[in-house]
Amino acid sequence: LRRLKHILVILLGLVGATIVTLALVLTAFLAKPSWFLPKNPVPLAALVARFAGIHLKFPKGARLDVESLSFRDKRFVLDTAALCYDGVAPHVSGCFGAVHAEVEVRLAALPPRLLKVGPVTAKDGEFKVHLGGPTEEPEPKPSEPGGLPKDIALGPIEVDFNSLQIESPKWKLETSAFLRTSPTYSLIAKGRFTHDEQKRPFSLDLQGKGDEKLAKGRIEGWVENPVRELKRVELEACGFELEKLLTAEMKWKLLCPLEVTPAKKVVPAEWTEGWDGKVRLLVKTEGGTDAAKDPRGNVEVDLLPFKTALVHGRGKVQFHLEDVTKDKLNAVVETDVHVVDFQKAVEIMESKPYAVPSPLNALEGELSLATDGKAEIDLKSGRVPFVFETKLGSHRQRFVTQAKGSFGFQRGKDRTDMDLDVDLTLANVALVLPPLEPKALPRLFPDPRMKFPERKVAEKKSAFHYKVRIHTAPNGPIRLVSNLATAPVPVALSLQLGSDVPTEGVLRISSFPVEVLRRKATVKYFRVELAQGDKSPPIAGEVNVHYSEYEIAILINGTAESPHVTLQSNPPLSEEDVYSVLVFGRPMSELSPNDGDSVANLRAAVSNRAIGLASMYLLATTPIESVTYDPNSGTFNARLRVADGTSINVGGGLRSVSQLGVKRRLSRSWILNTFIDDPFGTEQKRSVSSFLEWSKRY
Amino acid sequence: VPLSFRFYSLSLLGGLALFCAQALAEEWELCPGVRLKAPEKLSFSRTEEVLVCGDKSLPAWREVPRSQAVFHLKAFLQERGYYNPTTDQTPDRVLVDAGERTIVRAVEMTGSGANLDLSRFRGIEGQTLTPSLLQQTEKRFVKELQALGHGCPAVDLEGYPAEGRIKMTIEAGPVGHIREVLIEPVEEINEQILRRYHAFYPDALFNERWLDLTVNRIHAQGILQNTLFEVSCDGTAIDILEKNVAGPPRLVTIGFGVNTEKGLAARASWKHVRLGDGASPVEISLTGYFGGSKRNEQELSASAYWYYRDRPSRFHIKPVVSIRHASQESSELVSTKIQLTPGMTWDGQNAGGSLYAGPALIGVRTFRGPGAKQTAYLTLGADLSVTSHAYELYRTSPREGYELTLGGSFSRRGWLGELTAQSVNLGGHYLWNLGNYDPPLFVLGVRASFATTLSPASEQGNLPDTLRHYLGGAASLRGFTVREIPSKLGALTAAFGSVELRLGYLIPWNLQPFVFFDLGKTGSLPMSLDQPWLYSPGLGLRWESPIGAFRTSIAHGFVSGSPPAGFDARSHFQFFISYGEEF
Repeated sequence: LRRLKHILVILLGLVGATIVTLALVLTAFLAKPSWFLPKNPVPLAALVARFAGIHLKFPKGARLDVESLSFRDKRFVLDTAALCYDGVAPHVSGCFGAVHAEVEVRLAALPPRLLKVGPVTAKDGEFKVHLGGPTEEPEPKPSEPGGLPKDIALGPIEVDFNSLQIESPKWKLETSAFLRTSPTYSLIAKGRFTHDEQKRPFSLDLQGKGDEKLAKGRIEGWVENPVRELKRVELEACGFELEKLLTAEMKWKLLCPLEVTPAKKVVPAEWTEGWDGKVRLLVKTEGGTDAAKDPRGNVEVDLLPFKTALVHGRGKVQFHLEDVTKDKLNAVVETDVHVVDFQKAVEIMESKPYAVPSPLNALEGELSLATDGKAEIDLKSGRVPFVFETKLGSHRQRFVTQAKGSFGFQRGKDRTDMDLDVDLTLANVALVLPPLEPKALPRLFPDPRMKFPERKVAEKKSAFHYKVRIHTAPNGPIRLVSNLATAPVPVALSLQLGSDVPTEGVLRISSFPVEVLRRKATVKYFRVELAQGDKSPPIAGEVNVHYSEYEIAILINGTAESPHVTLQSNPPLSEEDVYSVLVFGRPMSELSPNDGDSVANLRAAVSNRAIGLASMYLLATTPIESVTYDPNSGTFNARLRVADGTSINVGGGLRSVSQLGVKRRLSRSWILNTFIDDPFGTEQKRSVSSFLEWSKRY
Repeated sequence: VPLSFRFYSLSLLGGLALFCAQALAEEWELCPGVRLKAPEKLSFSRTEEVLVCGDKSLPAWREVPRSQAVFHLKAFLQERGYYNPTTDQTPDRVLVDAGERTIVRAVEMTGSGANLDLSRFRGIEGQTLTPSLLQQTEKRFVKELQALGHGCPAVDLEGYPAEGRIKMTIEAGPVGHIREVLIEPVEEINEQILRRYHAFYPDALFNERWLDLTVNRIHAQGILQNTLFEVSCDGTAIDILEKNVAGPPRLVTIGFGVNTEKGLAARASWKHVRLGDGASPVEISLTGYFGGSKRNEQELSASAYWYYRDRPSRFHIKPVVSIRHASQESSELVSTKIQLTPGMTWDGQNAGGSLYAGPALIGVRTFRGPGAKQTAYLTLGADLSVTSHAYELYRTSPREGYELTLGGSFSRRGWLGELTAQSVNLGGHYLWNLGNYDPPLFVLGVRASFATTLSPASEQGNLPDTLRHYLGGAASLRGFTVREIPSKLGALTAAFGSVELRLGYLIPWNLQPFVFFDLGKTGSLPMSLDQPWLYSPGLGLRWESPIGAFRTSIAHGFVSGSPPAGFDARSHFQFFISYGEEF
């Protein structure tokens, strides 16, 4: 038992001695850590770093000093002429030329606690970062509390990268950068960013001061060719203010003037006369993160007023960050662009495929395009509301219109589809038509009976779709000035046009007086209704022709291809007399030589629907010498008296075929009459006579 | 004509035309900055010019941008059959190359009327594909279907310029019969009398061409100023509404001109076209011809078609009173004629006819020439004619149908006259549109005539010229001059036949060459053809001008064997030019 007690005492003595020894050693380590550190700290530092997962190398050795700040707190000072790093994923490799780093650690705690980092100076850094191949985006992890512990102090940090290359399979960043945290925060970077083989040089200069509670600073820099449409974007004295940096309650303010230089192909050179080629923007944003750490706040981008010789403009885009979803940006867009000299625009576009057509190109005034409303935009599609107004005029012409609608785009794999949805109000429009020849109205558009299936294939590929609703103002019909009418022709319309649907709607000509070549008439109305599937649109109209003793009403209905004409008179007349009054201004009983023929022919032609609308208009408004009609060929011919001694022919020729010969009417009273004298007589006595005849019916 | 031959011919012609067109392509300046190149010189209307070139005098149209000018120009070129224009732009000008005109190479037909034989319709394939061609073609097929009895057909056409193709969709509708013919009232007459001019009748198979023929008849008579028909369909029943414009009934005409046989002519007439309820036309005319001091003629005549019945009828009496003075190199006479001839007309489905038979009192005083110095005789005349509607409709542009005429006059000494003579004339035409092309490609015509005067031998020497028969001239044997055969004294019997093949509408400007062969014989005695055979092969050219047809022919007249005494005709070449006269 005694021996057992002796052994126990010895053991207790050993344990106590060990504890005392360890306590002494610990005390000595805490008091003088340098006693315990080796002269060459490199293997130890590398070992510690490796335990931390960092592959550090010190090719030129290093020096580690420990200063005792107190019994518990120590400062470690590392100096090395070369510090290299070689990571695995992402693969980061490179070296700093000279590194001086200081950290303060409370060794008395378990585990030891980092009290302060810095000053740190790293110079001549040359690093490469390879981000590896494309990988699917990892599922977002639940956010963890980020940033340094609140009780760790930061000393001055200076990091200087002579060269920093970050590469991914799709892009590459080559830059030199200098980062400093004292006396102010400062980040200066220059280099270039390469994406899709397009090199985008940039420069960034960030200066700031403050702490994690409040940091202020400014950013300057520029980048060239950030996107294809922009040549350069430059930030000038872009100020920012950050509160509670890197915390969940972070707040920010940013006021950032931007100078954007569009690429030349975006804005044709001829549009930029008097313009320095730069768009100046002011980006303002203020916000912070909410409890869920999602960003909240406003962003406003002002397009500062600009002027060229042709265009004046300004604009603003505003959006709330809380409205920004993963797919879409809901913004309020306000822009106001004026083409101040329409004639200048006409001149610029004159030789272009999109030239302003006649007679619009004679107008003077201004155009304005304004957007004022909510726009939904994302990277793949967008829709922007707009208002386009024209305030144009010239001699006898006006073109005051307002178009409200939206413009949208949808980016596909191979092409971008665009669409336009517009309500166009023609508030005050008066246009001069080209001089029209009654006998030969030109066909401005191809005959729809001519089919081009091979072209339709190409048409299907069109990436532009439109839907336009056109209507005239309630009391402001379009006024068409034509040589066929002495007063402007008032046209009210309500049409729906679409790239993918047939035109629908109503076109109505209101009452207007006509006085062509001494005959007074009134077109009371004329209406065309366009509907889907109608091969020939239905029409309706009424023309009143005034005479001293009669009033003739020409009622037109049916279809445009085959108009049906009915005549009425006041006081009532027989149908023959109505035609007679219409053509010659007096009833049949008072007609002069052969005028009755013209009346009969007109009636026949009208009944057989052989007269086109244009000819009918002329008949109603123009003095007539004679009318002939061939029912066999359906050929209608009217000889109109345009002035004393001159006349014109409307329609084709006519040969009046009789049973025994040929009659060719030469004028109102003269006929060339050729006939066989005795067609049933004996052959040897047959002869043919040809007479130029004047005749009179009574 | 075999289709293959037609195809190769057209292809050859087309290729040749294309080559020539390319070689002769013209380029000219439409206006400053706009040039046009086309295989032919194109003209534009004033409006078209403004739309392409602008007009300095019009402020709104002073400048037309080049792109707009090109747009308009392309539209106008389409109107002219150029569907593939190209443009070549330089800073100071744009050149629009119209390219080649699109020619119709194929026509296809679908729909219920697709059984029409397309190969019959000429003037579509090979033509320039234009909107107006579509319009004309549509009208042609509508008329064709209406001629086949479809009252209300619908024809829609589409053009496919890339292929030079026309697609025709036909809904012919049923073949119909005429159910009812309504005639609008005509002031002062019973409008039902107009049925006497109708070439159709209720229950007949509808044929729109016979409506046209009716209009022609009414125009020719001058009864009304204008007539038109409106057709409405109710299944197979077709109703026709006739609309008329009467116009004033009296007509005074004064004219002057020429006659192919008699020289300069002048004429004055007064006509009342609707006398009485029956709308009987009455005409008084004075006509004079002057072909020289020894060749002149004057005639004063009054005639009427007296529809005497109370109800509408085709029966009528044709009274004629005339006095005529005729002077020729070989004769000079004054003749008077008083005639009262009852007559009637009728119409069937495809043909109609007329019959006149009645007495005529004729007096002839001969100052010079053969025959008695003074002759008066009562003659009973009769004329029967049967004419197909097609022949009548196309009389001024002959292409098909037939006409047969039979006439005769009978007089006897003692019947208010001093002469016994019976004259008989039988003649006819038959025309074939070979291949039934539209318009005709070849027209084959045959005509024949036989005329004889029966009279006792003792009176044959006193027969007036009107009872003697001659051959020669454009209307009979074209290798001989007018009335050359047999001699100035004429013959008592004459017969001839002709066959003619005419090229239809193929050569531009309506020129139609033809070849012919005429054969004839005369006789010095009644019902006898004892004189030599005469024949005349030849060729000619017909021009269908806007004022009537001109025909020229050159033929060689042959006399077989030795001509007997009193037979003056001899073999020789003969050239004719005629106006208004057809085969």
